[in-house]
Amino acid sequence: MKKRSLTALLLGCLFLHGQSQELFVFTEPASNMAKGNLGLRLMASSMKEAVGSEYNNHLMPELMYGVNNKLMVHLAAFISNRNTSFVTEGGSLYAKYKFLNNDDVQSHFRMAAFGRYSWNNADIHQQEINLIGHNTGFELGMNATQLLHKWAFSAGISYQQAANNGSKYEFPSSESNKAMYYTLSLGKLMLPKAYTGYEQTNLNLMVELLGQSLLSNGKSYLDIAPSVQLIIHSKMRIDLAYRKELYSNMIRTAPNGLVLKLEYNFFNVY
Amino acid sequence: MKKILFFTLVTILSFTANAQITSVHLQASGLTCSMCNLSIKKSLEKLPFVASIKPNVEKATYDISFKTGADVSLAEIQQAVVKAGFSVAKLKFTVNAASATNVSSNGFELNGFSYNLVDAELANIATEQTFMVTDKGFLSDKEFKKFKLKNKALGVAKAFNITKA
Repeated sequence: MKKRSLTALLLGCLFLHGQSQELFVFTEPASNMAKGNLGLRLMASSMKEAVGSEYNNHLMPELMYGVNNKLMVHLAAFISNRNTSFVTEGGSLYAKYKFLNNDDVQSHFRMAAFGRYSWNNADIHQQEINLIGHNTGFELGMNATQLLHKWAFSAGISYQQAANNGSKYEFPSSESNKAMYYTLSLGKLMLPKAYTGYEQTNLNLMVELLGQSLLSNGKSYLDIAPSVQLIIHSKMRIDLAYRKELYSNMIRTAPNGLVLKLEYNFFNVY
Repeated sequence: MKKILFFTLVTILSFTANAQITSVHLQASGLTCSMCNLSIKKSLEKLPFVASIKPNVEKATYDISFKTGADVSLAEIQQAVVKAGFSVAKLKFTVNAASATNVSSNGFELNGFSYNLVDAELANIATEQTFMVTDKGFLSDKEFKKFKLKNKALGVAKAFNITKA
């Protein structure tokens, strides 16, 4: 009952006021971490299979580091129980370079270019190309983020190309291994109304639109993902999101489900 | 003899200790979240001459005090904000008048740094005088436009354009 009231309250806030700031759950903003800061992240997702009643559970531990004020890198591992018990199926290396930075008091407009290389040794089981825990391949893209006081807007576009998953699972030649990926994210800082210190818990509400078009066959999907985020002691982040397919004409194994993300930031590590 | 030497040394040291920027008030731009705010504070705390920082999270301002006798570099303070991923919207600093050298109507020198007054004549520096840096990177783009033509091209991190604050 308590859970239900909490969910209702959070959803209520979302519809009443909109969403949170720019530390989105499914997309990265154009902003970077501070130079020398280290972030530890754990993402857990439980996605319901489209056919049957099984759930695919994924874990993604991730290390993030601010090389300088323009460049940051992420290193992640993909663990999943989709086939058997939990096994490490792959990993990814991600880098983002901020090339435009216009700051003003309580606002900014920033743009960044990013690249990702992922590897995965799991079986290829869907038409969707997913470089977070499913496909081997690379992604190159750009994103732009506007912060306006308590609001943040971010948009991204990237080119994705999948390859064979190890030597065991070839990418089917009949399927499209190239895709464009689009994202649109909105966020709003809900609490505190006014800051008095670093100890206050921040509540952010966000909603993201995530879409993909496969280039060879024109198939596409569009998902919506509302989320709630808490920032504790200005160091720790807890995100809870629900990803829901709005539209799709491609084969996707498990598009809908819950995502929980925990993050802790260490300042001035190096 | 030793005593005299000791007292001379103490006098010199206390003079050097006075020869300082006594405090800095800065406002950062490009942020509204407390996590970002803390990143800037942590980056400023790394500077060897910083003694303490009083942040105002709501306004993104920081009141910085310095270690006695340490050489304060305004350029390093600005860079610390940039390294955290943000910008300086305003930087005001207070100097102890007794410590300034080469004081002229156009400015003064302090600990090897020179300060050029852009828009007002300086008859004399008050005991505690506050100035604002008008160089690019020390102001929001909007504010910088007001000083762009008045600023001298100094081009080194050891010289700053300033105005009375």
